[in-house]
Amino acid sequence: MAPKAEIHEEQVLQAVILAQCEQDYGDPVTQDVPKVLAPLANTPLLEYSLEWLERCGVEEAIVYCRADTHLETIREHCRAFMTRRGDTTPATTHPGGLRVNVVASEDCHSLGDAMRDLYAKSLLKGDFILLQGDTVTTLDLPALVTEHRESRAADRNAIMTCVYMGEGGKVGTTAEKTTTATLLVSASTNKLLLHRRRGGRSTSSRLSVPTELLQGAGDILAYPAAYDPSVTICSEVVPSLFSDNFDYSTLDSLVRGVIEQEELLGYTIKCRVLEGGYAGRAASINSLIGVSGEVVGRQAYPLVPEVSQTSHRVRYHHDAFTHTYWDPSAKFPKGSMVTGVVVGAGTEVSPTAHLQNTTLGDHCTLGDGVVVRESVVMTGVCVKAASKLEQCWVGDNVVLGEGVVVAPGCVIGAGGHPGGSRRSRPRHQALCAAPPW
Amino acid sequence: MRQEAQAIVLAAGPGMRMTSLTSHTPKCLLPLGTLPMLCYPLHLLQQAGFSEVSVVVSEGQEQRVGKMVEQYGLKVDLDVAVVSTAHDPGTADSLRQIASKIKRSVEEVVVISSDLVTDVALQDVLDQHRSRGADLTMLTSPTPSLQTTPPGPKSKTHLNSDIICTEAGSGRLVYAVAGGDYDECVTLQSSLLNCAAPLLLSASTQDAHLYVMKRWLFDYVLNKESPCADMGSLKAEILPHIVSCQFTDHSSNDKLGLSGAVEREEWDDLVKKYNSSVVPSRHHSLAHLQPPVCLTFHHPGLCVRANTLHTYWHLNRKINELFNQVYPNSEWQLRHPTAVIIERAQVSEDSVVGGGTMVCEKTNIASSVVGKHCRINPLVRLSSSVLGDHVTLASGCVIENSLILASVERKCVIKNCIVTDSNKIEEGKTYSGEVLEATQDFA
Repeated sequence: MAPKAEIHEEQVLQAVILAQCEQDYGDPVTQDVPKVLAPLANTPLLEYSLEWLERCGVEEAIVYCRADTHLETIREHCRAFMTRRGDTTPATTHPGGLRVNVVASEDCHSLGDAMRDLYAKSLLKGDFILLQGDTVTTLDLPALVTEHRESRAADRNAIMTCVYMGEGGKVGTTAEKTTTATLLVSASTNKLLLHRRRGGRSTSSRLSVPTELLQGAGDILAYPAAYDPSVTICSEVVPSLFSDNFDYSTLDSLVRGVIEQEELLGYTIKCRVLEGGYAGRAASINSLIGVSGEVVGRQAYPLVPEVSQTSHRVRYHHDAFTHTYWDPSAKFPKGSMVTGVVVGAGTEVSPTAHLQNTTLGDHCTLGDGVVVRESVVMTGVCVKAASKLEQCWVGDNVVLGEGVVVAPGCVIGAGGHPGGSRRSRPRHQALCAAPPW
Repeated sequence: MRQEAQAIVLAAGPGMRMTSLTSHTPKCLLPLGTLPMLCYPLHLLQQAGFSEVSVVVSEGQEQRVGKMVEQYGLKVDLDVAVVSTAHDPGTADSLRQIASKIKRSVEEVVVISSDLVTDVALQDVLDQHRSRGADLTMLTSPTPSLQTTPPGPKSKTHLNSDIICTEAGSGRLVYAVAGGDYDECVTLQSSLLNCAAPLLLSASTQDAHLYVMKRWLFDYVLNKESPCADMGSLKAEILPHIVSCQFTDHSSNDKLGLSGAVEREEWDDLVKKYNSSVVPSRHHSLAHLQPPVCLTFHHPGLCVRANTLHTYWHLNRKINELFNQVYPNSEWQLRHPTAVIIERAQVSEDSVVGGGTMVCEKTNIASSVVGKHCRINPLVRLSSSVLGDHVTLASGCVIENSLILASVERKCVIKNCIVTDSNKIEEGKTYSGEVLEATQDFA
């Protein structure tokens, strides 16, 4: 028998970004652009993740998508990302920069399917960072991975580290019910003892703590509402667990299954509740607007709107007092009624417009007396005078007539022409092409 | 002069968890290192600057307790109140008996159980209570781990520990349940969870039964119309009720909480007269509780409640090491000057000998506690044991790891036993792991 040679595998730090996320923005939006490439402060969402992963020293990122019409766009985007790495001198620790690998599959409808597919293709070689495509984060990922590896070395059965944000990290504005969870964590070992998603169909809002947990685990920290940014550090056991259990479709079901079967399988999940750092998940349109507001408020420093993530050059002027960013070519008179706004290239904004917490894309035109609050406006949109937009998404090349009032929560698809003096119903979604009104 | 705080010591407890010891002696007078147990909380209060203490005792004990001050050199005045033990009173009933003794002008009431032995500086607890504006402060400490094995038959009773839930960081008390009052699940209400701060749930922290309450809260507890009127136990029922009231929504019409005590016009008149410097004093009784501020004072040092056989035994065994910690600045010594120890007796350094005791020659006493006015006859071997007061040990006895509260008049070997009745000892026998007590007469 040949002596067993010590094969020292290079520990490549991998990350998996799930781009075909569970919750879609809905048809009018995702017809044109895949959710991961939706602009947040005029930068595609995916860009934030890739940029941050590269800064963290991650060597390989696997972007997992569904094989649909947007696959090519995502592929193109990632190719462009890697080519840029070649041109600009990366100041990262790793000489090669981030390698992005786009993996697609036809019938992938959930995180569980994605994990099973990746396991079957043997693409994951060790511990990896699992992110959802719509997460914007500036958490210290290498430190979390090191902690995970240490806890793994101490206890082989600690298969996963969930990351949550505690009270200090995230103010509750963007925290919707579905993204917060009630957690019970052992104070001494950081082991996750109970996990319950808040909101949804929770029958009772009381929390029952089995006393045997207290006798066994010592002191327990209870977090009534911890924000879940969908950042997880997984070990190689996690994809195999998914493939063993076909009914695990989300990470929640895996967590629940592992906790319930702890005696049988012996696996434990560690949980870190962070007080500092920023992580936000733009799962729905409302949270997209919320996270966009936070990014505009510079909470995601060093990922700031005025520095283009693609070219690493300053692209916008920035007024720190009112948190406004505008492109040099935009005709944008800074009135006193403007706060928290990002204005794209070539956009014209009339001096009497009121803007608050919005993002305007390139080549838009806003007429007199327009009031836009907490909305996302894409490129080439023309909003005629005296219109009101509140908490809505306006797609490409939409022309809004005069005096149109768009109620909160509406989504107007690309190319629509909502006529003049119309009021829309709340949360109405207007598809593009055929003008519905 | 306005007194700021008044202290109450609850000493009427029957000692339900150590019945073999308390059949003849009330729990508060059981000896702990040659001093009655009650001396320790009294000394604690004395150290904190109290000059008067109200003590609640059961029937028949007021004489003995009243004499304690002179006997043991305490410098506090005792105001003894008696509660009848006819209907199995709880701690709350004791409080109701002495409701009249609480002076009108005090701001805070300190309630201590007679079995608490601790080295906490009570002044610190009061300071925290006042500076943080708490309405209730509970003393908590890590549950002591007891390594000594008590004498008597091996029992498998495992007492559940208290579960205390505090807000991590601020120490605010959000949930408390006494040991034995919960089964498999502890339910936290949603109103509690809405406070959204991380909560620390601990089963290894005990409630030390030392409470500092604001006067209005104390009145609420004693008020016949409040929900507390039906509750018997302070720790097990009233305290969880108060803690849970922090989160219930009592919307009162009156922001000032005058609720019927003072009419609105009267109030307005007073305000006009005194230029708005009138503040409603909360000394009137409240039938509804406004959300109180409940805090814990966590004391990481020594804090033991001697209310079970195990803890009582543990304290006695360790009293020689701990005495100066829990009973500082006193003239009481562990090797009392009036104890007579004859030269050829071997008494180890860590043994405690009470006053008036006579230890004859050729005896060997190791790591033991001997009470007052005892007589240890020659040729007695005593090791790791605790003797009460007025105990005589006949010559030649061998006693190991036992608790002797009555005289042993005949020569025998006693190991791991509890002796409370002399008549049960027979000549020449060996007793191991038994409780030798007087059986109850059912005649």
